[in-house]
Amino acid sequence: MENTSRWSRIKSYWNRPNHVAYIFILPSLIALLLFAFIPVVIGLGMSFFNVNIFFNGTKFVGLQNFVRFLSDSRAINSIWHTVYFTVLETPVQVLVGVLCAAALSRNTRFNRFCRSTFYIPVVCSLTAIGLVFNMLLDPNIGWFPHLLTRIGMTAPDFFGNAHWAMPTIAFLTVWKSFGVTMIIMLTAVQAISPSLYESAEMDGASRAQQFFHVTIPQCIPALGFCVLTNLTGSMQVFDQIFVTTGGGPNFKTESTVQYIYNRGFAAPYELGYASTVATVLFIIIAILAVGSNLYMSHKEQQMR
Amino acid sequence: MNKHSWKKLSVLALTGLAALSLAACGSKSASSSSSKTTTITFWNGFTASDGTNLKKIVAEYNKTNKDHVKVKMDQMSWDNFNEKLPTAITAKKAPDFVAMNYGDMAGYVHNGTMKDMSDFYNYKGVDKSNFQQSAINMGKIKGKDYFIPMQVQGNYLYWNKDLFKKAGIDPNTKIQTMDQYMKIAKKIKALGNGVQGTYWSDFAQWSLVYGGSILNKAETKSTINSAANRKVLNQFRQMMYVDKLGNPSTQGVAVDNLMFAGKLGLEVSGPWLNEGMIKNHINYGVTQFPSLTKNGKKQAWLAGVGFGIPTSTDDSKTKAIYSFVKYWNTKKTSKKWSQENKCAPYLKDVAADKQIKNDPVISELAKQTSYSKVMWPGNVHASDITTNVITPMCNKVVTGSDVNTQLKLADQKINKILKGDN
Repeated sequence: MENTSRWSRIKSYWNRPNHVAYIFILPSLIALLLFAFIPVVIGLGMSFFNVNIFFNGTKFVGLQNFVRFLSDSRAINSIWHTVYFTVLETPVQVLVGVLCAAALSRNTRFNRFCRSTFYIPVVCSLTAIGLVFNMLLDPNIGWFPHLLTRIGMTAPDFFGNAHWAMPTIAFLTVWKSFGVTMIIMLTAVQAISPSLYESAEMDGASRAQQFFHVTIPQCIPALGFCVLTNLTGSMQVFDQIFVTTGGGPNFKTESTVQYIYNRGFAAPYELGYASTVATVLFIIIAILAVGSNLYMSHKEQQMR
Repeated sequence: MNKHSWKKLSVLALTGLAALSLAACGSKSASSSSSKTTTITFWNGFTASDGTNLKKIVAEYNKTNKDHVKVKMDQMSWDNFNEKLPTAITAKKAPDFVAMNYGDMAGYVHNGTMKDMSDFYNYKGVDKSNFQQSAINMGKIKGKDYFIPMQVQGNYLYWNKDLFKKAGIDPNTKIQTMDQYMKIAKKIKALGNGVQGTYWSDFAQWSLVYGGSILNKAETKSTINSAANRKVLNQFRQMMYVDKLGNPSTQGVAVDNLMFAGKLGLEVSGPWLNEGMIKNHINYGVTQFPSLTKNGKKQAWLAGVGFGIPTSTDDSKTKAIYSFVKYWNTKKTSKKWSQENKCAPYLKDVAADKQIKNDPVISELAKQTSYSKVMWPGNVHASDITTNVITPMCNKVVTGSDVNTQLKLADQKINKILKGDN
């Protein structure tokens, strides 16, 4: 009898809306703990050790790895390359995504076709796309350079030239991923009340004015989300660089994650130092993420 | 059907299932107890046609060996191999034995993850004197044999005979000197239509023929900043940046692909190039790496692949592994491997074989093996120096960087690596 009443008390406690929510988020929380939080803490700890992939001769070195990072020009350069990629990729991807979302917001057959088409690269493997771009832009056997030569132009070595390589990788990434931004923004655009556009029209606002003064302000929360996810994603760029340039030419496209990989998972397999670089990257991304989140929250507050 | 019948049916089904499982367990245990076969797992990075040839050899061994050994092989790309093996060793899930590039071996030995295989040469039926000393030396680290030869290779000079003809050069010209090399590369580049003359390659090999070195004899200090190496880099710079005999950004497999497309005149590469040339019906020639002058002393570095055993492998499997390695190093198997993959032989009886001697490609490659030597055997920094210093230095020079500056930088970096504070 007492057991039954205790059971029903537990049931009623967890059935309350503000309590049951914790049960719903528990699986995600466990996954996050196991695959994100614990590895981050372990990585942070390892950055204070000299440890290789075989875990032989592990030695506590304090801040020595961080001091080494400051004098490691390749590591510092990899941070700059990552920032350069982010500056090239994130604004363009968000802009293209927003413009496409605004242009394709009406549910016509043509718009639906365009949305599906633009989303196709998102579901394709980045490795496969990298290989295809590599072949298309190859200076010796590529179709695109061949086409340019046929019309009397000299094709640059897209992945082999230090000036062209990173913009080309950024272009490839935008082409592959803008569909995600487009879909998120499309949902936000379609949720805007038509009465706002009607009032703007009655006030004589042009299409451009409607876009800047109705669409954009109404989409700030979704836009904030897109900027944040793009920013953090771009700062962790790896696959497309690994497949297309491998960090070359002359390490000019080597991103921080690739440098971490090269240090930790290739000879001399320095997991400790690789963890140090990962910790630095983590701090940079955290600052950027918190900064952009605060800015977007501020903008949202202004909207209200 | 009523509730009672359902219950009965469920009990019957469960009983049946349990009986089946028990029978299956019984048959499994019976088969394992009756068989004395030792299964050994084997990882390697042969994935092209050499991989197919290796599969055939392993299948043949599994079928014919009388030692009751079964080799279970997992083939992956070398990149994948080098990523997977360290973590597998750490997690104690490494294969029983591997075939790996000799340059990577030192790192594993230094970390105590590979077994000493010196006693293989005392294994019944193994004749150590039949192995070429240079091949044995590849696997020697601090006087112990950690690595039993599987294949030896060097860098050879390949040329496209059709492009030679088009450029007005005798297609059977075997380039002997650097001057000749540069002149021919220029003539081929002049053909135009996307045809490239040549590409820079293997700094260490060029350095050797120019009389230079990268490390001192004791391998404790960098000697890269020397006049001989300046000559090498100046030649690379002249070749790629000034004369534009090839596109500096094209490297590795992309250069091989140009050769296979008939768009490259000269390439310095390993024996694996033969397979692609034959497959793509390229009319080609191959010879030893050119020496500096007409009467210059021939010198070349030797590399290769060999068998190693991770320390996690149980000692009870050593005999089974040695049985396969011995099979590999018999005249029949080694000759087959040489012929099918166009590799230079390292067993004396294979090298003396008539068919091998009459094969124009293999016999040419074998000549180079006879005077080749192993570069930095057992040096744990070899891979780091090559990947993170030499290759980036060459890349910078062929895109126009100053040779002296790059040599100085490389010198500093190598010394840092050797001191262990890179």
